[in-house]
Amino acid sequence: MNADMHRIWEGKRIFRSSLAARPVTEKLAMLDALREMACTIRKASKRNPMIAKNEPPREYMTETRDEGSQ
Amino acid sequence: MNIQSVIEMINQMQKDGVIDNYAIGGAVGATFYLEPVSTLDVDIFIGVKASPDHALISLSPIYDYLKARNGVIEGEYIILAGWPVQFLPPTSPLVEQALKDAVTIDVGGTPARVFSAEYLAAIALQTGRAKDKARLLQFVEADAIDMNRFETILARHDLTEHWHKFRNLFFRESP
Repeated sequence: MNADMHRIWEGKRIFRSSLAARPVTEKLAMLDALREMACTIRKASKRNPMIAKNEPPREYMTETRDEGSQ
Repeated sequence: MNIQSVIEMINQMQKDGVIDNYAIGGAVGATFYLEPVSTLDVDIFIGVKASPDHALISLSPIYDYLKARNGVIEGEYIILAGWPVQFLPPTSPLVEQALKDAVTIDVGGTPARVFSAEYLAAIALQTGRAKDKARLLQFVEADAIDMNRFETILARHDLTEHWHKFRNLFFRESP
């Protein structure tokens, strides 16, 4: 696949412009939704920080379990 | 969570005479002109009634007023309608002027006082943290500021050299 970076950047710029041009009420509602999402992620990472931040690869987890059961 | 409810509460607080003037700044203020960017708090800049007896500005009347209306204090924030809100007195002549020249924007029938795009960009330049630089870039790239007005503000507040350095760093012509 040949990525045309200029076309991708232009697409992103157009998308950002269309977001900026939306009515203020709609944009503020988006901020409400973004904050709610951020809070949910924060709560989840506080409940189990190891899983959220440093989840080891599956194979490693299996090895750890095996070692623990010996 | 609802920013519009926060704005309604602040408007009521102004009507009740607790604050003289206010303007929304920071990421929420920038959202009035740019695409929305996730933020965790609302920055409200306020003109507090000066007391001749006290050199320091007290935010107690604001906190007392809002606590009586279900506001919850958490550190330097007060939680209103699910949003942590920080009240900030002007910290520089630039912010003082931005507060005086704030514009009124209609939010679904609620008037909101907001820093103008040019002042938000100038404050971002003056504050100069990484996220402020990113915001200033957004304003310029989105063509969301009137350059003449912006540069007049910068000249008035001794920020022209900062701006030239910023421009040279981020907007150099490609070779």
